[in-house]
Amino acid sequence: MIERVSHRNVCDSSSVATFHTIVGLFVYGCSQEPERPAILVEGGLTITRRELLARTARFAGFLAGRVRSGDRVVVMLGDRIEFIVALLGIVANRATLVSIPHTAQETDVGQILHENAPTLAIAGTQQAALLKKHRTNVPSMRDILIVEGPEPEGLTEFGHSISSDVLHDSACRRDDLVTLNYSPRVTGVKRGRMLDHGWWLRVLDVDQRLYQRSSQDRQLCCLPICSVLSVLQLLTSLSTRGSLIAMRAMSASRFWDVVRNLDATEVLSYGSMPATLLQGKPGTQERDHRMRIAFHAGVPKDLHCELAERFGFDWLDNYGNTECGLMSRVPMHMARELIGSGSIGLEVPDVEIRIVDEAGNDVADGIVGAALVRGPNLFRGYVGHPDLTSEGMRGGWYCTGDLLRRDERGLLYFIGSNEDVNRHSGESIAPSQTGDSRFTGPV
Amino acid sequence: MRFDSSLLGLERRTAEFRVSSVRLAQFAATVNDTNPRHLAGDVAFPVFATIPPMQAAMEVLSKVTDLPRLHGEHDIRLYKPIRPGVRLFSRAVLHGVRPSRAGVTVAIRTETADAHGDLFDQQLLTTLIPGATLPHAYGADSPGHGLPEDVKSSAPKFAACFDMHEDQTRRYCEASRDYSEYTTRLEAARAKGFDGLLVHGLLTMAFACRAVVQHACSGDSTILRRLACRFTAPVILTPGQAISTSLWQWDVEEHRPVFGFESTDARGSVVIGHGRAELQS
Repeated sequence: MIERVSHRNVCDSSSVATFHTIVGLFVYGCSQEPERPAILVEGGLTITRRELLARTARFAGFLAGRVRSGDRVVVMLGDRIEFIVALLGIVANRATLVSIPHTAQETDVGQILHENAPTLAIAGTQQAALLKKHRTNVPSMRDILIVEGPEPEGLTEFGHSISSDVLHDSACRRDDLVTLNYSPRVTGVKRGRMLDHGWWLRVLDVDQRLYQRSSQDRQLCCLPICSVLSVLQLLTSLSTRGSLIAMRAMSASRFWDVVRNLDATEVLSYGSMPATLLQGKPGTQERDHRMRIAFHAGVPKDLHCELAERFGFDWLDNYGNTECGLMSRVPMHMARELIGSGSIGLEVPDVEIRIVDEAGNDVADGIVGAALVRGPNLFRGYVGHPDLTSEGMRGGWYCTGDLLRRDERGLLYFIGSNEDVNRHSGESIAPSQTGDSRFTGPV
Repeated sequence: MRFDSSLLGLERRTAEFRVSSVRLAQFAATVNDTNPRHLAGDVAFPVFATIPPMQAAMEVLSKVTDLPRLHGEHDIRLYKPIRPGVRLFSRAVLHGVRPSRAGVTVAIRTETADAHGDLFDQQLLTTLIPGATLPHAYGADSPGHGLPEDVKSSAPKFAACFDMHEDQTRRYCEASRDYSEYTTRLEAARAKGFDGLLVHGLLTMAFACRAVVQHACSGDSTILRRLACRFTAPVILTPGQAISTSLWQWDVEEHRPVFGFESTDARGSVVIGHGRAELQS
């Protein structure tokens, strides 16, 4: 009989389970080593933890008289650090950030505003103009704060002289909604996913128990800072004494310079990044760096070996989505063995995955079926669409809409999806955003 | 202070530390090194070896005490030079806790090796908890590296003085990832009782090491086998701060040339004593 495999060296001492909210984790992380960089932006801008904490505390104080518990605040910003300040400031006041992609079309913006009835909006100059067009239809929206000027000063005028304990003494609770995320979708109704503190903390907790980081580590983020994944990366680096490197739009020609000069040790890869990097001209710099791991959802089987050999670090497959967060990952000790296998690994701690047939019965190993997921702190539903939420749940299990197969060792394989999106470790990203169609096909 | 003797032998390990030429070159530049091989990132400046095991050592130390402490001594035994491409794994073990005239010392032993088990260095990091008392000594004693008075009373064979720059500690924070507040924020330094920014002990040691490599090793740091010293007084980053290091040809042990060294700051205070550098035979 072939033995089932499992994750080894799960490091429970790295757990963040002691935190009840991401605000608590953020304040703790920033306070531990205040002079350590929180974010190093490609191009030279560095924000220390002290500065990030101070900016956020001031903005949280500014919002204190303007938003109340349960309010929704629309944020429509591009790739700017002020997004982090806005997020934590809003959440510390027990309001919820409604994230609208800064490239969203007018009709989508209208739908999101209608569904959420926000009391406040925070937006870039161009996005503010779009929001203003809808203002008459959204009487709840009392004000629009415009983020402009050089980064990270875009929110400085709001709370410039305010000294407040709202952030440090936040009354927010684990079941408060943190964000409502509208990911770009190719077709169909836009769905806002409601994520509470428990969702965010579980993803952080599982990841940190599975992968050990140190004060010498820096995570490279190539997505806009306003994405769920980027915020997760930042919170991870804050709680593991690391720093986040923010690359401004992925580029194969700049990638290795950023990796080397800013000393990245880990990257969250997405979409076509692997293929893009392999298309780059080979050189010594792609081996002379400190990168030791890339996390990627759907590492292309045919490129996997070349990626690992050419660049000299492991590419670890994950499976997840915004609804369930991180669901599976290749065990660290099997990273080499599973190169090119197409496996998305095993369920992460605390998550169960069933593979069922059309009648809802569990299928045998080797048979393709629909993936159902159960675990603590999944998403709280689709905003304004209780029908869709209940449709997605089946007896306490969430129907992912994905087709998986499990082999005799218990390893999972992604076969296909009913959703026209890529599945990443915690966020759905449309192929149009990533420029990749590889993962939508059979693996 | 109270000490739980069951902590002796407590061990912590680090995550993998990969080495790149850029990181090596950045470190060399940060300590104002002028050695072309270090600045090119071909081989590590010797004090770079303190970086990979440091987190593990600090994790062990934090289990022993949370009292204010000072870096007392550092003793590095080098077996293989660190070069780009190596992948290092470190472990730190609580070596000993002992009463001393100035307080209580906590010694932590570290080892850094690659994935094949090839040893790169062993270190003994001693921290001093000023004013603390302890009725007994626990664990092993640390090997000495003192400079005999008769040697010190002779004329040094070499001497070198290197200036510290205004942003020296800030740059060292980045190179070492030791972002201790009192090294970059005046308010934090004053809260600790210092009248200026405190220079990291290992940064001061790096300045002394430059003199050792330049003169005792004739520029070839790969022949250095041991570098040990005691931090005898804090260095404050004042305008015009400089570290002057004197080296004495001390002895030849087992065919190995041995040098003693001592460093003073710009005011003439001895900031590094009991310095010992051993070269390969």
